[in-house]
Amino acid sequence: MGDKTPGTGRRDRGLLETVVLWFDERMGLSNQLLRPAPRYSINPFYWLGALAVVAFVIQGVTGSIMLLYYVPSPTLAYASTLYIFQNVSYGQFLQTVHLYTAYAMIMLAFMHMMRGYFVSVHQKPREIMWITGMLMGFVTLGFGFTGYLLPWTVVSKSATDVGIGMIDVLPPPLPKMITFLVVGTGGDAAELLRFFDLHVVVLPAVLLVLLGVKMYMMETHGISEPVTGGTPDPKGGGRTIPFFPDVSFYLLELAALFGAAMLLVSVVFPLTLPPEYTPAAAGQYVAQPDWYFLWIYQILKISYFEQAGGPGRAELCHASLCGPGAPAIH
Amino acid sequence: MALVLLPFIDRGKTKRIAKRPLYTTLGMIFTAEVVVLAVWGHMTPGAPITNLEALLVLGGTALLMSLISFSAYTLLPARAGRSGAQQSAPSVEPASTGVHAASAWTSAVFVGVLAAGALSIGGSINSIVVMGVAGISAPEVGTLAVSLAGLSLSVLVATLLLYRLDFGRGRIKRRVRAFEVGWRE
Repeated sequence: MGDKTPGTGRRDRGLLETVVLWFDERMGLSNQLLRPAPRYSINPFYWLGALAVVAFVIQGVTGSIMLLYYVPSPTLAYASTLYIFQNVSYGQFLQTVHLYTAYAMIMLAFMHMMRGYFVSVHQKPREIMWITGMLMGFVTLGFGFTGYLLPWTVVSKSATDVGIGMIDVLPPPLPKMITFLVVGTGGDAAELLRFFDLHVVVLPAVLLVLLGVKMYMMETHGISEPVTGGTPDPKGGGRTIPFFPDVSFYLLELAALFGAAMLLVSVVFPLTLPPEYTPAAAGQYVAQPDWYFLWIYQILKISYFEQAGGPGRAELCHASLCGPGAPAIH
Repeated sequence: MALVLLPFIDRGKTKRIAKRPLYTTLGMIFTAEVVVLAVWGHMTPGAPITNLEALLVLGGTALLMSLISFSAYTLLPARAGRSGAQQSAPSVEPASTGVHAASAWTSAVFVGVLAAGALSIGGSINSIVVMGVAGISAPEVGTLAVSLAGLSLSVLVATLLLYRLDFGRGRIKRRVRAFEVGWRE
């Protein structure tokens, strides 16, 4: 790259490649982060984590726009959410994309984990990468947990209260510590403010740090070898393909497909905003956590775990109003 | 916690799924349990769960997944043997990734078919029980029809797959061929 002579190669380059190479020569991108990738990695299953990052970026963009209008206070949270819904251009669409992409991010993180499990990416030397990824998974769930409360609807508040009840099954002193951290002692206002801070400041920062650590380790160890016995790729050779344009365009295609799918689903199935939370309104519903916590919640409802000191159904269900005839909310 | 500490629990050296039956089966059970629990929770909001129900549903799911895994590992023994032979006596020719991919796809489809068949059986039984208790209704008849159609399709695809897999010995193929020839005559 550095020994190019005038008139050689330049004539074949397009504008985009020239610009990229200009930056590459000065920043050494292709030598570090953007090094060649093995051929076998051109497969969507190798990029589930990357798609989760794409989802995180979409969340960042849509969330930042909503931040312009949202007010984290029990009296104004629902009104500001409704304002975005009804008065901001494409506000309903924005919120729908934010919700569905959050679901996609959680699902992609789970698929990424299980795919890694089945193909043994946790084996030496990637043990710490695995643990870092697990921590990122917990942070992703934390995003879902904290973000769900923010609209302050009867669904979100009740589901969050159920989720907070689930913290009690952790061994002491964790329940008191975590409950204090996420709820505080100031009632609804403190709870909402803390959830808001966690959702828009703390968790994104933690996730970005963990992502940086994981990417650094991925650059160190390279992409995991396939289970079919492929050769681990060295930093060059015929079994690799350049990051630009091959891998980068492939990733762009995947990201575009994913983004298009999210937009399409959001258009076809637009979100409807449930009523505002009030204790009376909450009494009309059977509270349930959102789908990604439902499996843990279901385990905690088993008689054995209730009798073993776990939170009883009355504690798991908001305001002890889990009537059999009440409709479920999710 | 077990998942977080997995690298220190699973100390195996091989990545091959064919040589990791225990952890592959455990992973299948975990994934299935998560899905079953979530769907179950969605269908029974607020309802308590007795120990017997939990044992039947969770134990049944684990048993089903174990059976599927056992079937897959039993039906596809050639792959592990072939890779073992390659390690002991390296061949001059490179391993054919096409054969591996075909085996993997066949295995995946077979597992999917078994799962679909199990779901269809469960759906059929559920519809029959519901109609027996609450009377015949159009939605339940529809569910039953879909379940039976799914079951038929699963049996058909499973038969085709078994024919293709042939257990590595050609017995089924020969029998079917003989049957076909005899039928034509």
